[in-house]
Amino acid sequence: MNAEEIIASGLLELYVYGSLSEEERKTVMKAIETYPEVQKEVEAIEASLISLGETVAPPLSVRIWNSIFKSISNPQGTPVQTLQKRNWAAISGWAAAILCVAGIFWMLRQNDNLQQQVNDITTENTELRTTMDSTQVDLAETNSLLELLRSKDFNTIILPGNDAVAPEAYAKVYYNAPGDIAYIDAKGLPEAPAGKVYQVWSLTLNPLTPTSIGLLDTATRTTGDVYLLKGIPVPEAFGITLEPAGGSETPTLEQLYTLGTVTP
Amino acid sequence: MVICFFRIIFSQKPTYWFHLILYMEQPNSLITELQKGSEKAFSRIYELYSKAIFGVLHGIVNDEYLAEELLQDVFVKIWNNASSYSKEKGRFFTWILNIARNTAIDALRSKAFKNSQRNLSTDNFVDIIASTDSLNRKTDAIGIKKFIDLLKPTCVKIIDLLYFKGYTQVDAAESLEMPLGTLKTRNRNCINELRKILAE
Repeated sequence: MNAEEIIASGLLELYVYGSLSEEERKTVMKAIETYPEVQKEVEAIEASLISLGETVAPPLSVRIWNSIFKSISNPQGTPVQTLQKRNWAAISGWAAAILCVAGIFWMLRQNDNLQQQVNDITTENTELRTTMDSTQVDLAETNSLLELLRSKDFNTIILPGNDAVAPEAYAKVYYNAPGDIAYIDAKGLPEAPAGKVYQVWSLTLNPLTPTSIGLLDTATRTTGDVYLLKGIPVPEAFGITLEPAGGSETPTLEQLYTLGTVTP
Repeated sequence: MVICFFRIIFSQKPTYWFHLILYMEQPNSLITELQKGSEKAFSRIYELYSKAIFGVLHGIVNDEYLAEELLQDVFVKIWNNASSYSKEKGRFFTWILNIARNTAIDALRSKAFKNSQRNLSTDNFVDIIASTDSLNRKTDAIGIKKFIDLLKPTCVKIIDLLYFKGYTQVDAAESLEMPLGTLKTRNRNCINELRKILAE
């Protein structure tokens, strides 16, 4: 059949309806491929049938499309597969996020701990440095005192304890006659009771004249129990008595703890 | 021609000219996209064919709500079975038309409809339009009246059986009590008449 015969046969209309036999359909399809005018005729027939369908259709609501679109975007047939796929992504995502957050917290804690340790060590360091400084000061003082005491200018006088009052007590006096100063080492004296002070006296023996040279609690304390006293009248002996706070004009001989003479 | 184009642009109802321009080529690239699962292509396909298919479904079941339901089923089937269409089988519109007819006939044969004594409508598409003259339809009244007045009653019967009801040529010839050859010729003349009416 040529193009005109095919068009006139009425097969093309039936082809668009879909009511041709298999053999007729093949014939038509071959003709469509061969003759462009047959193709055009088929398209015109189809367009007229579509127009007819549209003309007789009731008004079509948008809600129909919405409903179709919903059901194709959310297919009920394959929920398991999509669920599994989604779960994998979600699980790994959440796991990574949780690990990340946990890691950050761990590192923050670690950092805090380290900071705390640094602070502790810094404090400790400062304390040690302070201790060392004071120790060095002490050592320097002790050394300078030792230097002084070892010099030839100082005369060492031992004041033994008074048997009647304090047989165990003793004191040492390092006396520098030209410098008019004396260091009193009170290590051998017991702790002065409350309200009482030790008072140091220089004595001339003939006649016996005691002169106060100072109270230990107001004297310049150097290191240990060594006190520096100044302005000493030329002594023949040193004595230490226990006196009421503030000291006395004259020594209370009943409370004479130690007494020693200066060897010329 | 100018008037026709104005009608294309300004009227809500697409015209034959419009379709002629639109369907000069089958939207093959759209179909390929649809088969790849493109929702956008599917949406275009819906725009192109939904109204006509809705008209066919309504012509078969003669029930607007059921036709709406079936239209949804038809397009979900198109989406799900798009890959089974190939150009070698014929026109894409014919493929959709077959899905629509089968869906409608299945629905009418289903238990619910047997109980309510419903069956394949014996009314043709023109009868149906005339009987369901709702308020919504007033706007289309002129276009439809054109078919009723201009299309010969024989043509209405032939087109109804072959296009809407999907009868085979043999069944249609038997039903209309005319020889097969006569049916083919008359059908061709009727479609030509339809094209003339639409092109006016």
